[in-house]
Amino acid sequence: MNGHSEAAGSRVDGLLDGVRRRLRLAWGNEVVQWAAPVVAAAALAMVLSGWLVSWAWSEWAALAIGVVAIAAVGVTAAVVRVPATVAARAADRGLRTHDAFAAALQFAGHQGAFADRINQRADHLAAGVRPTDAIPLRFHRNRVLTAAGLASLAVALAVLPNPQDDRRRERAAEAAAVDQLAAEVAADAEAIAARGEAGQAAAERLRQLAEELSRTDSLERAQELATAAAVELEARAGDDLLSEKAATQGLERSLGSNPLVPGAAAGAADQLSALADQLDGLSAEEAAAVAERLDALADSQAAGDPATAEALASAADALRAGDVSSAKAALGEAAGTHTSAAAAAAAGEADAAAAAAADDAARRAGAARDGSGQGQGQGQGQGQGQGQGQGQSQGQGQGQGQGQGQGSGGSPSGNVSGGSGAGTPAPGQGGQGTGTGHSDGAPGEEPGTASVFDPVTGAPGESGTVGGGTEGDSETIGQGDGATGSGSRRVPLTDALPEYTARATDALDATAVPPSVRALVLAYFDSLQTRVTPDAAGG
Amino acid sequence: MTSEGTTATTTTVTPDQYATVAEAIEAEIGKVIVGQHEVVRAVVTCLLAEGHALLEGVPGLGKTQLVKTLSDVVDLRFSRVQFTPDLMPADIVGTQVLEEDEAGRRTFRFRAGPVFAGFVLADEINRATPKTQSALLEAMQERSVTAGGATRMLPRPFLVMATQNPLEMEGTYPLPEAQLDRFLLKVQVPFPTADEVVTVLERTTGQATQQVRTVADAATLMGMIELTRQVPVPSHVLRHAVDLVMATHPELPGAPAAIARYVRFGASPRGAQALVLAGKVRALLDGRPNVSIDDIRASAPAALRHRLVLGYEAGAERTSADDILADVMAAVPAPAAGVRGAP
Repeated sequence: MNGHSEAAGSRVDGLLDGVRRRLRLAWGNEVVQWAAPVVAAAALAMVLSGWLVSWAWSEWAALAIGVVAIAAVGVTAAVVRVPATVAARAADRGLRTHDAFAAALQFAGHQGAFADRINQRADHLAAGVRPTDAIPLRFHRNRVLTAAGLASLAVALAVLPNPQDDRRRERAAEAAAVDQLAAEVAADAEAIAARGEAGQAAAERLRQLAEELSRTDSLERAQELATAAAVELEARAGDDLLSEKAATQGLERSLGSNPLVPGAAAGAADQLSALADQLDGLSAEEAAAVAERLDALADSQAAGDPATAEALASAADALRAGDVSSAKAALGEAAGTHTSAAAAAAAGEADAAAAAAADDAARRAGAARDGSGQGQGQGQGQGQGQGQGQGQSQGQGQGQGQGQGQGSGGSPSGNVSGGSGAGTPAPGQGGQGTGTGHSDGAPGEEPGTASVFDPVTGAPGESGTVGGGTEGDSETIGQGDGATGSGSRRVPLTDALPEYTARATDALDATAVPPSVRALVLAYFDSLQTRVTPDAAGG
Repeated sequence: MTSEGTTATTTTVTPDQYATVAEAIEAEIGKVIVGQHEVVRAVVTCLLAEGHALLEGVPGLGKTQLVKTLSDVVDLRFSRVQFTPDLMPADIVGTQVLEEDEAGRRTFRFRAGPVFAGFVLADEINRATPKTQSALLEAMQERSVTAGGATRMLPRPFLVMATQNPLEMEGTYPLPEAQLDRFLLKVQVPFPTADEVVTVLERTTGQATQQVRTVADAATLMGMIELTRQVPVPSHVLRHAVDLVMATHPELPGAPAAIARYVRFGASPRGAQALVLAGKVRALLDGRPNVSIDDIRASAPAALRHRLVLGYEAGAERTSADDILADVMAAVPAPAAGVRGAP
């Protein structure tokens, strides 16, 4: 009897377990059919919204609604708790067993004739029936058809071309362009970071800019960010960067070509330190010569590195006065200030390069907004053409007009200025030739294809037609004697630059040019070279 | 036979025997009563639940014959009381009479009335005055009679089978609600079908008479009555019986519209008792060891129709208690399993 009871109980328990699983399935079936029209309507609404607003994700969102809804129902159905009493009552109703299973569950373990009969009857009823018999799955035709109709409509609208597709493509292209800008800015940041300690701060700012660009999909916003970064970096670079760079690099070159202490290390700071060590052993004549050299070096540093210039002058004065210890101290100070100035110049150069990169990114963002070809041409033309224009146009174009007339623009003397050839040397100040491109400059020419007026190939006595006047049109500046081109002869800058550089270098070597001016000229041509050949960055 | 005031001994009856005896009772009754299976089943239900039955129907449907036949089938003392307007309570419960013995001594002796029987047929109960009708109240509820200062117990089992004619309103006294509430079931006796009338004519207008045999004695009936009370009722079934009764009360929230409109007072807890007892009998007769929702709902009309106190709107709109109960049944459906998607 006990074995029969146990078997009976297990048969009923087995049926109820199956009914539980079936109830979960039935629950999921009911909920899916109940929710299907709602979900389909929501998906359709989402797809329709994609026809009205250029969201790129409306179709995916519609699909996600359906997937999430089904997944939620499935997960809930799998975990919903179905008590045994509920299963028993469901089985009784489905199998029309007059509450036999519910009674068996409630009176299990009770004593008495009726308790036994209840269990026996439940066992008898449980034999040969399946949970599927107890819990049929219902099909709500209207709801299913409604959901199917709505879903079909949503699918049709999703696959058909809609009026927002063009706008979406534009936005996607814009986002891709911004991502491209971000990647390029990040690459520029790493290139600047490779310069070492001097480039880290600038690189970090560019990385920050790249991060900001990666978070926006708008070219307008990208342009704003890049412009703001460029302004910030330019401010950090400072207006005196070129003179600082000229001074520090000039000192290095000068001491490199004509060391203070023969055999000493090549660096200027090392040489100054080495000189300080040797002051004790100098004769009066040697001390006087050294003092004179130090004065000359001080003069060369006056414009760009006043602290080093002062230290060098102090050292010279101390030497003349016979105060070796003071001279040593001054030389040590000069070494330190020079090192600091060189580091600051390197950092400023990195900032300037980063500013150029940010500005370039801003220009390309603006160009992409307006149309890619024109924007790029203007950007590059402005950036480099102007830089070259300021530096060279003032020297050669405007410079030939203005530089010759006014003597400003820092054009190198001699050969470069077309026309009169009376180019007045001008102090190398004013940040010329930095190529940042803030205003309209020469007509959009890319740096590699920019052209300049070549006065060399003209016939003597010809009038010079000089382009790039104040109105941007060619105008006759005057009559030149000698190398004046006829008409508007122009050659590619890449062809003319080496010649110009060589002539300028020769002129510097052959004439008594102050070291500061020499350094400025050399730095100027270095920057030109950088504009023309970007791979030579960092020079 | 049992003496007055004593309880019959009880014979242990198994559920299988229960169904067999009940089936035999119905079969014997069927020899005399043509058709009326639902009525017969309801009367047998009252018998096996030891409850009183009120049979209502037009004259000539065999109400009295049914009860008389039932009394022949089961070995219970039968008495019939024809209720008339001049019937007195003492005519029902008995009275003290002065008797003189052989020695000339005079004593009062209680002469038991017809209520001291196992089966009491109260024919046309609505023709007696309320005072006389109320004489049955104590007997029906307490199964005892208080007369002459003494309380005398009625035999067990004790059942009152009352009949009434719904046609005659003149000179009748509707049963008070207190007395109505003591009837387990109120059975509507329908007019028989044409074929059934033919059979009735064949049986009653010829020379042949139907003889029924006794299939159960008082002890067996008591055993069946005790077995009825042992049938288990699952908790959700009990709850459903209560829900049905509660739904008949217009003052409770959630009452169906028909109840709120037509019912003045709903069924008392005796209505729920009637549902459960009738459900137990029904389950046993069906060979099942437990009461089900279906048993409760099948018993509801007969168990509740006489317990609703209807308002004048019901009478004006000719809305019967059965119509109202149909709305109640629809408003209180069989409890679902509680899981969406379950049957």
